[in-house]
Amino acid sequence: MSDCDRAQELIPWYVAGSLSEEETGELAMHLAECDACRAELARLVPLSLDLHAALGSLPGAAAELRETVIGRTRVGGTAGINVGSFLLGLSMGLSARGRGAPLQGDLKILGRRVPLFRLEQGGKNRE
Amino acid sequence: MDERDLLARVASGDEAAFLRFYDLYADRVHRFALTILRARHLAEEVVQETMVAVWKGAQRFRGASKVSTWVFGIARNQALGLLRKESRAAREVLPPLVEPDPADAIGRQQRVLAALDTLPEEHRAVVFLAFYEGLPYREIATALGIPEGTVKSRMYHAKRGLLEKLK
Repeated sequence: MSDCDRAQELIPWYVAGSLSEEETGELAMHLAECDACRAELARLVPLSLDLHAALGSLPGAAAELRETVIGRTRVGGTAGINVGSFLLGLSMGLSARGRGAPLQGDLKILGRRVPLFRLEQGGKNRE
Repeated sequence: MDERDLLARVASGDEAAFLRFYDLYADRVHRFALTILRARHLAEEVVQETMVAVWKGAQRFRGASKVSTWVFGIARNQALGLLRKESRAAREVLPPLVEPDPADAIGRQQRVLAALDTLPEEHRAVVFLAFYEGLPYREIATALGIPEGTVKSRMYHAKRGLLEKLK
């Protein structure tokens, strides 16, 4: 591989900011004496910035997806439904943890959870 | 708390840590998947499956790579799985990331995305991980499960293609 081929290989990683110190030094030595590779570097710097901006303009994950993932990661753990008023900071939740596990209800007021009831297997109400 | 500590907490079953981790990565994984798959419903599926896999498998992270390398490796595998599921015909009608509109004020970004869209999927993945995530080629090789030389080769061709399209 010629010095220019090697430099062409390293330049994209240099402009992306991820080249090792050692490789950066190697590239700098070559760039100091090669017009063609400096020209390549000059072409790639704006491309790198454009790519970062363009890829960052792609939409992020939808807000609803967070709830879906939370629900899925509680499979075998807690599954529940919540209803309430965001404005009043009030919500009610109903949840169950695992098969045959207790069913419990709670009221959430301004972020504080107040247990309302807990049903053990067989329907015995403990609260 | 750094990402490794956060992931260790996720591995211990800390739900709050998992939500922080989700917030740290969901948008980035979505953009990555969108770059590869070019379809929002598929990108959402990748985010879901990746995050569920993180929750279930955080204890399998051994620390040999960056956390982001590990996460994007999972996302890449999920995306590949979806690509395999999609029929070839269905893939061909997937819409491009954007319709180029050179007269638009944000035309530059659109032109860049449109140029990116002309590259093969495996080249787009390398471009995203290099220029958006800033991952070194060694980490990208790990994330994508390919040799470092292949990463460099894909970058070389991607760069050529992009410069040609954006002339």
